[in-house]
Amino acid sequence: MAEKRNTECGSSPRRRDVLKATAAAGTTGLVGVTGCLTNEGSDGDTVTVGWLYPHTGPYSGLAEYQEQGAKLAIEQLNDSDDIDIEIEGLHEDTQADPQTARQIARRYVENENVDVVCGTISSAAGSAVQSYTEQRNVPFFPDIAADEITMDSCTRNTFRYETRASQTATAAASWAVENFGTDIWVHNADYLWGNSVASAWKSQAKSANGNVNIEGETTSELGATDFSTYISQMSDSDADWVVTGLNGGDAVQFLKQANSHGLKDEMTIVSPVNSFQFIRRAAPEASVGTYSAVRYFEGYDSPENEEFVDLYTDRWDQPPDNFAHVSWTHMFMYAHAVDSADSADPDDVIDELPSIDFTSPMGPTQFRDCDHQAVRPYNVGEIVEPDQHDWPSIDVMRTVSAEDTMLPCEETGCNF
Amino acid sequence: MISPSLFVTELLNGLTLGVLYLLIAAGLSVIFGMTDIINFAHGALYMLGAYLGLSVIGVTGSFWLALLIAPILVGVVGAVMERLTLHHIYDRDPLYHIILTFGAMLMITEGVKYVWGPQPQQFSTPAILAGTATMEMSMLSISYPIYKLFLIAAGVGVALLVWGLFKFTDFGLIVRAGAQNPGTVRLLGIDVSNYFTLVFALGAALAGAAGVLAAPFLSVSPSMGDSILIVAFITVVVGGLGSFRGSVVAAILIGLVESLGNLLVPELTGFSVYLLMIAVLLVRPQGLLGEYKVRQASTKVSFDEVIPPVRVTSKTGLAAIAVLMLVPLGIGIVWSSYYVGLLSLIFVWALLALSLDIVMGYMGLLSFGHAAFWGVGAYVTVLTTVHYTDLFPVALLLAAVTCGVIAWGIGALSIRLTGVYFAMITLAFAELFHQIGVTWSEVTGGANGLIMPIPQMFGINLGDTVVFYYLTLAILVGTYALSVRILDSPFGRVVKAIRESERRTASLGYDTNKFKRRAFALSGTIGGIAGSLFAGYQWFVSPETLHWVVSGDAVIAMMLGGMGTLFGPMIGAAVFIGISEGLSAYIPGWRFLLGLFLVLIVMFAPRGIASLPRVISKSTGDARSRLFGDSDEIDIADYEQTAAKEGENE
Repeated sequence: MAEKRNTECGSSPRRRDVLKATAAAGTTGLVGVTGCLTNEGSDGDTVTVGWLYPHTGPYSGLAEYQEQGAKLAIEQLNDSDDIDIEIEGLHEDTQADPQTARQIARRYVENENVDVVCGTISSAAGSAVQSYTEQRNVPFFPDIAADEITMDSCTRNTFRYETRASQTATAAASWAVENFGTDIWVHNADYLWGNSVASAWKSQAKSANGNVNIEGETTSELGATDFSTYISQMSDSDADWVVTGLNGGDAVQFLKQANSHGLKDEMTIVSPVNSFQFIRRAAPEASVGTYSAVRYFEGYDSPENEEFVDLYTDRWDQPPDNFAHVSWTHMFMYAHAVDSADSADPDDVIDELPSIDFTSPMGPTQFRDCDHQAVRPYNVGEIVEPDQHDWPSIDVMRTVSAEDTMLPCEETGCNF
Repeated sequence: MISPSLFVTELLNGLTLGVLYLLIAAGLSVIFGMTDIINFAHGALYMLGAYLGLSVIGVTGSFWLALLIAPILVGVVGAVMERLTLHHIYDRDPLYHIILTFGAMLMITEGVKYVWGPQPQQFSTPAILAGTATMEMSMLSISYPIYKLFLIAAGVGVALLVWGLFKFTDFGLIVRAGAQNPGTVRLLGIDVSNYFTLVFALGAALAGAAGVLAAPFLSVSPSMGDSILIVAFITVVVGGLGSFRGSVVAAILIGLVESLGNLLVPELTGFSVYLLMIAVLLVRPQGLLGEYKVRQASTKVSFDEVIPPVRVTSKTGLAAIAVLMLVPLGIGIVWSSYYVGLLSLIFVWALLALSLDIVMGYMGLLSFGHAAFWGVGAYVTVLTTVHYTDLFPVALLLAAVTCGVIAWGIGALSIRLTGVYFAMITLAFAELFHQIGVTWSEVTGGANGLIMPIPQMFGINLGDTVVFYYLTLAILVGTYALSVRILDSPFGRVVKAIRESERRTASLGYDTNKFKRRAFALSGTIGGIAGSLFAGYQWFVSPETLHWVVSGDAVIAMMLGGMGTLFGPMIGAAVFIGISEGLSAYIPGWRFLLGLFLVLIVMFAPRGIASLPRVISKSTGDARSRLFGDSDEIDIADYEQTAAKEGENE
């Protein structure tokens, strides 16, 4: 039976309610269920969250964790006595396609009246959704790492706990120069995030050491499958190490093919993301002995992480990966903001969010006022032989404090 | 300076790629050579092979068994697919085969996702083939993965086997004879149709074998067949349709062009293959080793029934417009503004399908490159509003003109090709634009696309859903009315005559190429308007608008609705977008249903939804339905129908 959850009228009916109403009408012979079924959602009790997952395409391996982290957080928050809100989650596949992502976001906002939009992983899809949510003034939590989204093209409604590509570079590039040498090859997938990685690592490496020499640069298409030609070029060069701006399936392919070409014997492979559990599991032998910035690691030593890993493993029968922890953290930080603002009104939540202090599995974090980018510490490590699990573990070698990785506000180019 | 070692390594890389393309293209070529079918499900069969191989290894632990069993299983799937569907519609235009196999592709892909999950799977290199082989000579020092050397050897082996099979066995003899003249072979007491099934199964098995062989080197995922399918098409076209030797040469050539091109002119990465194809088609349309003439007649679109378009001023037309005019009044009462927005998206797609129908349904030219107009229209609109003016109509006009000019240009270069060749060259041009969209980041924003300000028009905010709805509706109705008018003019009659018989039309003294160029330019202009409105709907554009998937979707929408009717494709677009939007939110494997729907439409209502009333009324024995089409048009329609039949017999 269609139930009036809220008596406020004037906005559009939500589709699920219409369906419920239709079903009810069908079974009981009730006709004429019209009028107000609207749940504005934004006045206290229930908030609706629209999640976007790239289940198809190059990030499909990452999306599973992303969705599990989000769902776990929603379940925990709904069971929690501390936070007095109900969260309803909507979960859909964007196919990593910006047009599809934007169309779904449109439906979420205009038809489902969601209070917040989260996810995308794909930075192209993320920037498409960002401009839409900005127009409709809906808070947006992208889990993408491209620089722009909290820099030049930052918007007031966008909050990001996920790393900015240049933050990882700050943490890892100088360390790599120190340890592996000054001759560098840069390879990246040709899109927003990949290009961010390439330019950030180049500039960070050069500013760390004046002798840094970029031996060569290559770019592949996003979703490329054969990296042989690039690997052959790297192999033929005098580079000491190569940094790869590749993620998801691209990163796995590259590692496997580099391994079969014996590239690891010739140079060190460094990446901002190869620490992802998905990548370590998909390319176990190939990833061992390579180095990576560590955004998240299931074996990371902190009480918050242990608790998170236990809960997650109980729920999903596998330990979490980076995107699980990002989804989870975004969900909690948003819920805290709604709770302490006592409102899901977009403006109230947006004003409240920078004041939320939260300890994520990877340490204390907070959104900055000036660009809504989360301040958090970063790590660098080596991927090593399996330890606790069947897949390679990580030996965390260096931790960079939150302050040291953050660009000063004036330099971000962000202006709401 | 490129060292000799690097050069040799890149040669090997190119050879490996070439062999991989050859393995896939071989099956495609074998199937086309015998049955004239362009098998869009080929990439899916290749992917299925990899997954089945994975499962065989999971059970037996042997890569070699997988290499044997998986292709057989894929062959069986191919045989079943052929028997259930294609077997009954060989006499139809190749367009229907394309749509049918496209539907099968969707079904196989979704099936694989259901069984193995959407995540990429890992397929490890068999231990005996792991590691690298090293070679040291005076100037050369090369180490190369053993598996890739094995891949090259295996590819050559498979190619020789297939060649031997066709050259030296009775099976090969009958198949070659059947491809030349099935009637004569039948007269000799051989049931050719069984051989069709066998050949299809053989082609599928080859795809399966390619999947297993590629799996340790590339990763296994449900989308692994998508990109490689296009390369396989290009291989077959460059080599010459139906020529096995041609495919071999083309595959190796393409592999080398890709890897060496990457090394020598990295700026052209992504362009090289398409440039090669355009060059070959322009210089030698029949492909490197193909024969053009034999295939010409086999790829012609013609109808045995002409369904005239509904006139805007007819009762049906006016009623439809009136209903659509009232839709926004229901916002907040019956539906949310989202659905009104969705309808305007449908109108935009309807325009694209309409533009495609002009060239395909009316002129009989298979265009597989309408994404070019859709995307260029969208980019021109966004760039104009970002850099020059915030007046949306100016951007729209500019987009239309640009696309018209581009279409004329593509037409001028490629209009002497017909059938599948025309489809492939338009595809290549569209992919070139896609590459430009991806690569020319300074202007197009690269893979991330461009954001545009909310469209305005003389102080009216077009970002408002209702305003934008009326704008798209008005443009749609206007364009439709104009298209009906144009196709009814002397110009339109010549265009239709070209579809039925270009030779006869030319013999009457018409410069058919001139008419074809103009019709193509008209179609491109409308496509550009559609793309421009799409940008206005999304306030955003990205290279996905130029991707071949858009062309494919447009063809599907047009076929679903019923081509050659103008109004049918618009209904098709509505159904297509409706299914995509409506089902995707509720049913995870909705594309399976879309695929099934396509297959059923092709099998049972080949003229699409527009013909459904007739199909139904025929089967119930009623008089011809008058629901669609105007009664006062019937004389001309009958006349055209007779002409169509004559054209077919020709």
